[in-house]
Amino acid sequence: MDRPSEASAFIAVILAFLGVSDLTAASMDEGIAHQYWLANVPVRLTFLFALSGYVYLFKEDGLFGSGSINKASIGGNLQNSLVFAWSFFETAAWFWVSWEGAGYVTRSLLIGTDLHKLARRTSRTHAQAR
Amino acid sequence: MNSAVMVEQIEILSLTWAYLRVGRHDVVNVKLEVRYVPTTVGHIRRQSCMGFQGCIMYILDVSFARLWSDLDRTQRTQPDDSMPLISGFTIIRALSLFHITAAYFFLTAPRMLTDQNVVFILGESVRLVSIQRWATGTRNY
Repeated sequence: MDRPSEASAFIAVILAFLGVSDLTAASMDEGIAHQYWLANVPVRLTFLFALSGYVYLFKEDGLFGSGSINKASIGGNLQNSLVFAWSFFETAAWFWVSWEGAGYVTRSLLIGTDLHKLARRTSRTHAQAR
Repeated sequence: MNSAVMVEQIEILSLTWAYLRVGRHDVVNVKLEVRYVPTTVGHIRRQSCMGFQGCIMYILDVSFARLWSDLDRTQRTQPDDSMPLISGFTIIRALSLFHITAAYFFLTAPRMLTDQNVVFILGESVRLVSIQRWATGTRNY
């Protein structure tokens, strides 16, 4: 990562692609966008949490790490500070997004917008309490 | 300071937050809701649902306190039109712009990203390999 390389250029392309498609998805019609992100955000959260947990637990002197530099694991290249910091902050940011999504579902339960039927269907408890 | 005074002060604090957050009209509603929470939840719990948790919920705009009040939900006349301070889509857009910016720096100068202080601090705090310029290829602890 000292100088721009083939790998970093490829990362740049992938990241820009992700950013542009996320911008598009966030600007969809609101009802569709809520459905899309309510399905998508938990997947991203799971993935990023698993990634940061993997980096932390499987590093060389980690809980499940190999213990010596001679037996480096396959994901050894992942176990550096950049990947950890990135996945950590992404986890936090997407958790914030999912938190706002929970607030949206809560409000929808109370007033009834597009999503209130979905929310009532998915939370059986509230349907019974009602 | 006894507990009743503490509860009252916490409630004043949370109502101040609520006022800043949604305006006075909804604060009146909030106060009604606090009274309508079923008593089976218990006195302290009932008050504290608009206390510290209430502050946090109003900052982050996840008002579970409203879900706990079943009575008031049926008697509600005023629709809850309070919107979060920063909506989910705004966060997603900001994240996307950050991704595009990061892509630009990965293309031109990856050093900018790996030399960030926060990357260094987070990496050191979990004792991970640093990939900063002055420590490339070495364990720096």
